[in-house]
Amino acid sequence: MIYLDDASTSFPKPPSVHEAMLHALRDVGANPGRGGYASAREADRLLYETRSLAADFFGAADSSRVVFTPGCTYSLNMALKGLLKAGDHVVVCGRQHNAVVRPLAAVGPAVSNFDWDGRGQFDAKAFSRLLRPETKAVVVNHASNVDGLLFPLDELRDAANGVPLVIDCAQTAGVVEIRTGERDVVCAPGHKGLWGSAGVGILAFGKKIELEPVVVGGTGSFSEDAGAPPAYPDRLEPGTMNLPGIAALGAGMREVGAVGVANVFRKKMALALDACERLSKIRGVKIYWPADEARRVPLFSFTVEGLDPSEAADLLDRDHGIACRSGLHCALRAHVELGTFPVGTVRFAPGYFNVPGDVDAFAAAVGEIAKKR
Amino acid sequence: MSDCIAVFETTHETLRAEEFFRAQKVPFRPVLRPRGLGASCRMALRFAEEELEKARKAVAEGNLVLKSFHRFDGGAWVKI
Ligand SMILES: Cc1ncc(COP(=O)(O)O)c(C=O)c1O
Repeated sequence: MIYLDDASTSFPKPPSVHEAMLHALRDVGANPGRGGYASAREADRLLYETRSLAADFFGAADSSRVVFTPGCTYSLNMALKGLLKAGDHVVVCGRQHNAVVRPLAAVGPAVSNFDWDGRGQFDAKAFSRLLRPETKAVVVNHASNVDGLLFPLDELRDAANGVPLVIDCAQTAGVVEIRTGERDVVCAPGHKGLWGSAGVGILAFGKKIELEPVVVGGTGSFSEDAGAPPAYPDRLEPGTMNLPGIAALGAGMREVGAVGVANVFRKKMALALDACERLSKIRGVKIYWPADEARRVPLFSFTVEGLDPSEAADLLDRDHGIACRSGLHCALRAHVELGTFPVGTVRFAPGYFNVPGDVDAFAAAVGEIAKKR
Repeated sequence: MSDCIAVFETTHETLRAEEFFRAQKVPFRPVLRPRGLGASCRMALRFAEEELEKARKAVAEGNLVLKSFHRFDGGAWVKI
């Protein structure tokens, strides 16, 4: 099988990631924060070291404000529900995923959308006009999982003028350098660009941010109080932590760090550019990827004229052993903006471990499918 | 000279404190927090009283969220 669905989850994982997970499960075993015996201390240390690593990775000044969650969806829920209430106002930027759309619908703030397709400059003036006195957050998809549109965070942060930024880094963590500003809430998955396992995500936030916990329970600390602990990370980490997953994430971040985020980006981008160039020569294939190279991450969508995307993906899988995702990719609005609603697209999302030969096979397969349609 | 104990708010902060104690060359032992010293984190750092000034420096250097220092005095841990 040729796996080209890195935007869903990365595969394969480096052997050190498998080993770290097994080590936590087999050799450590104990529950962090729950005991004073040697293996519980080792569990504490594993958690602590991985947290410190994550703080470095995301440029978070205070490692106690880096918490582990069950995934990016949970990080986003914790950020949005922890910051907002009905009656607040938010500005939403970028092509949002349902991991943002649905928690916002559940909380019920007034929403203003700032639409931008990556063409031309980011219009800070137009953006600023959307801000209101009751604007409590600017929510941004750092990069679209549909067409790879990369949002300019620094310009947005300046324009937000002190309003907290909730940043969905599902497609950029481990691919684009991210520094957590003092009013930023960074939400990231562990299992995509950080090469960890499913079941772990990161929520990193700056010192000017306070988050109300969404889930409360035992933390092994402040046990005499019925309320959530006042101190981070305990405040946001109730219940038993996913130590094997966290250990795996630590190993994944070390691997990504050893390669270098910029090198990961470069390699994946070379594969995506190659694929894009070849697909653009195939009659009937339409590509959805921002024209400006500075505005995109290494993944794009495409359609084959006259062929339902799910059928195209099915043919890629069945006849060519190529794994690509098709459909709406949990991001309705992106397809409305791109004009690909309701059928959606097929997505080309290479990983760091793909090789040029995979692109050869992919482009040849799409060529064949387009010819036969 | 007696022994002292430093109690921090969370396990995370205690482990962070270890790094700053090491940097200030304060010999310490992580120990189970003695009963009655607050119900926050179950570990604490134990060190010799003559290291107290260096320990205070470590707390300041690391901007550590210290709950309290205690000295073993007359059979009990007394807050200092
Ligand atoms: C843009 C975006 N946000 C959020 C998520 C949710 O991430 P997870 O499935 O890790 O919770 C995804 C996953 O595909 C995504 O692409």
